Amino acid sequence: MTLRLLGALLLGVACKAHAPEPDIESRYLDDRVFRRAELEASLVRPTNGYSRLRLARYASGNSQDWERLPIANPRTTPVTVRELDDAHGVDPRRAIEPSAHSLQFDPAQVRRSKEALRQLGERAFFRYPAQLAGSSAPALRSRSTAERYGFWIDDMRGVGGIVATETADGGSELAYTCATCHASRQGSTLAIGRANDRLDLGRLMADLGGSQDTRSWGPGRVDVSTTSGNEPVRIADLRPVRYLTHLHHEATVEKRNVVSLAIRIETLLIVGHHEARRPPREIALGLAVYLESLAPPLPAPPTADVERRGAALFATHCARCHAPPAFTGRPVAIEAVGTDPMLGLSSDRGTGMVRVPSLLGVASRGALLHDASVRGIEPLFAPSRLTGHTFGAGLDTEQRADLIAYVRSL
Amino acid sequence: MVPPYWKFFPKKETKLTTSNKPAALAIAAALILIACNPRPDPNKPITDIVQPPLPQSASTSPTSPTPPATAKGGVPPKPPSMHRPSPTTCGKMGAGEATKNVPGCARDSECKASSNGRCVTLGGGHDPMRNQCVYDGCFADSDCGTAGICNCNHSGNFCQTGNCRLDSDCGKGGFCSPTYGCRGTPGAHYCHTPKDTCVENSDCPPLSNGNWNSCTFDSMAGHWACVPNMCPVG
Repeated sequence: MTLRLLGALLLGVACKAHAPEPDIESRYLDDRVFRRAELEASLVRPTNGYSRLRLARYASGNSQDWERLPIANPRTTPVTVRELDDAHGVDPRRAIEPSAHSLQFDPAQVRRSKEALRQLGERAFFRYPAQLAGSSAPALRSRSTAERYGFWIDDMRGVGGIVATETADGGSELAYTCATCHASRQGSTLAIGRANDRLDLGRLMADLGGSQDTRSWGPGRVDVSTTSGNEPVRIADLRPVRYLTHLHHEATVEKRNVVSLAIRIETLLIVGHHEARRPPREIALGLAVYLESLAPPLPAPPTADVERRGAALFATHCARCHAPPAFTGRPVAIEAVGTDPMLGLSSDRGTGMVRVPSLLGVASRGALLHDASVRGIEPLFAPSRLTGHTFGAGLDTEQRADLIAYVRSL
Repeated sequence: MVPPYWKFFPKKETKLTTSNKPAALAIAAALILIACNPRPDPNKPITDIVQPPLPQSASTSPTSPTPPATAKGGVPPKPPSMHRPSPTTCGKMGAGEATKNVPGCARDSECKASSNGRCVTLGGGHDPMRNQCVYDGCFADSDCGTAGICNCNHSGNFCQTGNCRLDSDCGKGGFCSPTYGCRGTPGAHYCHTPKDTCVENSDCPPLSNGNWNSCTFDSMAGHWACVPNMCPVG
């Protein structure tokens, strides 16, 4: 009997000790060692500024660990079109309505259900304050000023993804969300994830009395990495992020899985809040899951003759980097692409390489290349364009038309 | 028919004997080994520095607590170099200064879409130079309701609202100072507080990555603090 009892106990303990491993989403939420390991594995160049800051502060276990920061999930309300149409425009310091709420979620449910995570992420995309933006209030005096600076206007979603977020004194301050930069009007709809290629924050800051240098950013470009403001990049199209191998134009982060994306988002929000607070990790993970859900479907093989001819040309001139089925690939050395090397050499995010963006949906992007220096697919292949990413430049007129038709179909 | 399970385990005496003692000891040893070698604790600190416990997760979705109404202002750690002891007014900024032979308007009198229009030259670099009508939203603080400050600006004066207009709004010994955002973009004015962790930009340590800290009002924390003066995050 004693032996039987001991045997049964042994069986029970052994089974418990060898229970199935939790999934990576749960480990991201619960396991600091795992988070740290994922961060370290995802950073392509540990010596650049972006990496050094995160290695010093993310799940570091030391006194500067960002995990010690208070969690921020403030009450927010979207700025509405009705407010914009008021006589004096949006009141930037109005009291937050009693009905305003923070992002509500059930921690147990988001662990069980990927759909619950996705829905949380969708709400966060439009509601979680990524960066306070009180100084932008003058841009919201009227529809015309909002449109001048490229803030989109949508009857359902509000104005430019801007929210009023509760402040310490019970008032509110305007803040940008993910949707401010990564959503834009496409015809009558708001294309979520598509870069806002009309947003001109550089012009706004210069018009408000800041340095006039930022006028050089132009629409659809922002400097997100330096305080000098001299490294503007194209606002990224987030729709194909699920297919990418790396994040940032400079390929700073290897996107190993949804957790590396969640960590990237989490640290962005921490930096956006001046390293004074951090988001609930469920929100960062929800945003990652949501962004991955925006992925367009992989295209079917071409059937039209012109596109089939174009596909053949694509295979010769483009597919080495933009490989099917997602038309992206591993990063490429900056000298191989020949575009402005500024980013690849940046002390903040540089890796010596550039990311290969996915060409899915490229026809709907306003500007191309990491510096938004080319406005459209036809100009990209124009024979008169002599420098930077000149692949396919030597094609004759008919070949060029076939290739462009195929690329447009992706 | 399957025999009952106990047929596989012949009844033996319950006491430990010399014949069954080794098996029992082996089983007990295995139990002890498994019990004493669980999976590594994922929250064990990486370093040997003893840290205070990390914050526990809330059982429901964490929400920033509704902030108590904090007293505005108070005496900061030291007086700031820039503050607002008295109101200022804006002259007619840039009136009549439009550059000749630049596209756009030529005279202030052409600017009639709203009141207080003037024709000024804007642009440069990526933004082509142009003469543009701008409209001043204010000339004095009194034009900005009960709480705003009139920001005198070449591109059109505008109202900004922080939590003070003058030093006197910040209590006895208080100071009302301007904030600046990315690339020197003027922000609103806020009272300094006893909780400030900085008063001037020079109080903020430099950053190792070439970026720089500035002393600004963190409206979610309710006091001035050194923040990396980052431009839009991304």
